[in-house]
Amino acid sequence: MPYLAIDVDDLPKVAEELAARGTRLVMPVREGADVFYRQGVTPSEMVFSGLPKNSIKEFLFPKSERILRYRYVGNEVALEDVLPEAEETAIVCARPCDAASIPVVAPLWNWDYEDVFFNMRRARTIVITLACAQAPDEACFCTSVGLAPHSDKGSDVLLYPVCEGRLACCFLTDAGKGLEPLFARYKKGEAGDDEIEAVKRSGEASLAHRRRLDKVRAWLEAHFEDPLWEQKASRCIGCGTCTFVCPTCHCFDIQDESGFDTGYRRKNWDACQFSLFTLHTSGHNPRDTQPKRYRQRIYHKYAIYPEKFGTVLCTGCGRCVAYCPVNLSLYDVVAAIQERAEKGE
Amino acid sequence: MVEAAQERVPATGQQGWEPRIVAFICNWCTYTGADLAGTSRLKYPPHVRVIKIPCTGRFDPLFMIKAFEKGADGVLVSGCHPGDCHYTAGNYNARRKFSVFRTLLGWTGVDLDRVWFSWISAAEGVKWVDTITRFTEVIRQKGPFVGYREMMDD
Amino acid sequence: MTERSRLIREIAARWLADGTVEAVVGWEQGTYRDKTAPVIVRTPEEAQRLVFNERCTNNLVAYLKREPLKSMAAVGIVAKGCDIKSLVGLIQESQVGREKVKILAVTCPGVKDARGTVPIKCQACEVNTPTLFDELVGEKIEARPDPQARSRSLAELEAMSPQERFRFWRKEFDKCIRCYACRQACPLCICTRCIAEKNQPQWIETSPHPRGNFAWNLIRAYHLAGRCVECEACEAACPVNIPLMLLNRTMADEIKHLFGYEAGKDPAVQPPLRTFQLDDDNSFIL
Repeated sequence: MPYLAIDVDDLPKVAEELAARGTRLVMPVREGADVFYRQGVTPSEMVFSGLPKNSIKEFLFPKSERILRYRYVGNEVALEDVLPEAEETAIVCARPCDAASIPVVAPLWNWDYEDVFFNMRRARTIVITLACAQAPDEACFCTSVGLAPHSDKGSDVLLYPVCEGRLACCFLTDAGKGLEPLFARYKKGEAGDDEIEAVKRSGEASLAHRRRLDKVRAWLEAHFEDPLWEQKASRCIGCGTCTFVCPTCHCFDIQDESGFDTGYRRKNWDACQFSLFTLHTSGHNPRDTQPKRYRQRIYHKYAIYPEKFGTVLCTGCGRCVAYCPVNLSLYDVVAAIQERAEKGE
Repeated sequence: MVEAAQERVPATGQQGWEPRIVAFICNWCTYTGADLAGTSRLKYPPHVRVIKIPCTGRFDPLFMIKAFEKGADGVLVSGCHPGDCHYTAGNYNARRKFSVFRTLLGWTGVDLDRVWFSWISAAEGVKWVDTITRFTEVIRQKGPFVGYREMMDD
Repeated sequence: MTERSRLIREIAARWLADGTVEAVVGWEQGTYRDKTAPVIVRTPEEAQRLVFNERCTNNLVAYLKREPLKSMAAVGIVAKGCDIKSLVGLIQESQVGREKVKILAVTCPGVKDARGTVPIKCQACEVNTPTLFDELVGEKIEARPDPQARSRSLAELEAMSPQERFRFWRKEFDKCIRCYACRQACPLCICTRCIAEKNQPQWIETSPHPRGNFAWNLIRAYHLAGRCVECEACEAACPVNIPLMLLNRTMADEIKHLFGYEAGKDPAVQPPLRTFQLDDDNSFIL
């Protein structure tokens, strides 16, 4: 089945047209030696290679947001909801591992409470993903968690970088199909299934890490007190880097900040790696050492979340591996677990 | 503080804005000096909010940061003259803290004219009046601390 | 394997075998690109994992403040000259006893960061051959510091007006996500409960909005003034590329200018903010 193709150089023009309609654009752009997803940048700055150092999480679940306002009005306290300023947003040139994070976390945000903040933003966000013909980083391990460099999970439009600087366009959802006329204005011929397949093959072949992690959950469920945690996680320094760069981590802290007669309740990113994360007011801390906190991270992602929601809480983007200040690689840890599980240890 | 502050204190140049000065002053010297100004019925601008600390040695840069966060346009820290500290050396320790924090503020772009330090003794009611009057006028000329005001509405 | 790596393994193995130390913290080969990774070894066999190369960037002194090393009676540490400077700071502040730490010092020609760049601390290094140690590994390296390396990095900010500087720092601190990687990687951030973790009262807002981030970054720079030895662990750890060293370097310069003091040199000298002189600078006080 032939796919609509456009020149890669015309993708910024598609983005410009979206911006002209009032859509907020989020795109990967270069900043110094790194690439970041940023909003409000000009489409011509769009970068097509490299994995942005941040994920797209912050555009659906910002690092800090107001959720409630209280005001003293006379002797009374007036409570008002604060809803997000959820503009129509297009994430252009998202990476498949980032797009896939959205359906992974969406059940969490709609589990015991329908999180209006996430849902409003998600409803107004369209995701245009660029498949990876080459794994952007040595740390990538998307196939190990059941995804792929060409995964279409979470995407409205998926673009395959076929040869000769062209993109083959797949319009996946209703919202994605709504963009087809816009892309069609830049049509430069078509691309065939064989070209798409070539991109898929080259992407998968380029991954440095490909171990299947299908026995990790069972091992975790049987080895809570294993010495592995002390061995592997003694180097963890207990910062929140892995948690905050992760597209699927979603823990938050509620803070009240008050002025004289007005205050706001806020929802801020929090990390289970912080030493105070599980400190009770009694003074007891069930996770009082770093190896226990690190263990919890692996359990949450690879055992507890799959049990509750049917999918691991990880898209294999590799940022935790690349940006950990002390090279405590989550992939190394789960791969070691897989190996032990395969050996029956 | 957020919208309420903005209702009461418009931006630079608009009618109605008045300088907000916070002064952290030591109990034994400057506070007593300010009392003397009061009992002597000396007049000075009423914009200063006084916060009494036992000694300038108690001063912590966090106090200044918090004052700016809450809407202060200028902060004064004042205590006993070197050699006169009620706790012997509190102000000597404070003096080093002041130098270091002042440099840091300047490096991060805070206008150092918004940050004053003084030694005012219990007998120097007139110096208190003079310092506050001049400081208030300087801040009035400079306008509100826009850099921090822009962050208040977070 | 290099000579330094071989000797480090030998000495660490010996210390562990004869009970001189309970554990040695050093570097081993990492698993991402050419990174090395901190490792705590407890047996002579485990000591064979230790390496030294130009990617040994982490400051391992940061491990002394936390378990498992914190409660051990004697620990070994593989350390470069810059790392040892931060240890001097801890000794000065009575946070670590000199006798508890066995320093396996290594002469270092300079390291390279994740991008292959030579950090400014290496360009300006005067401690290629450490002088405080229990054992020293590696041939002596003549220090050849570039005297302009540090000041070059500060020139842009120095030339700015206050408003420009505020805009610069506002833009940088806006990026902060309050991951505290800077604090956790820092060997001298040792408070059991950081000021940012205190809420009775809450001086530093924990929210990563511009106001909270200003307070955090300002106070951290202040708490390090006169203590920071410019090991650059903070800036290397920051996942959002905030140029933290521009704050710490300038504060170190000012401390030297005001009090004639440089951090990390002499364990017997009082840190500058713990003491005073009768003729300290008074020029800015009315």
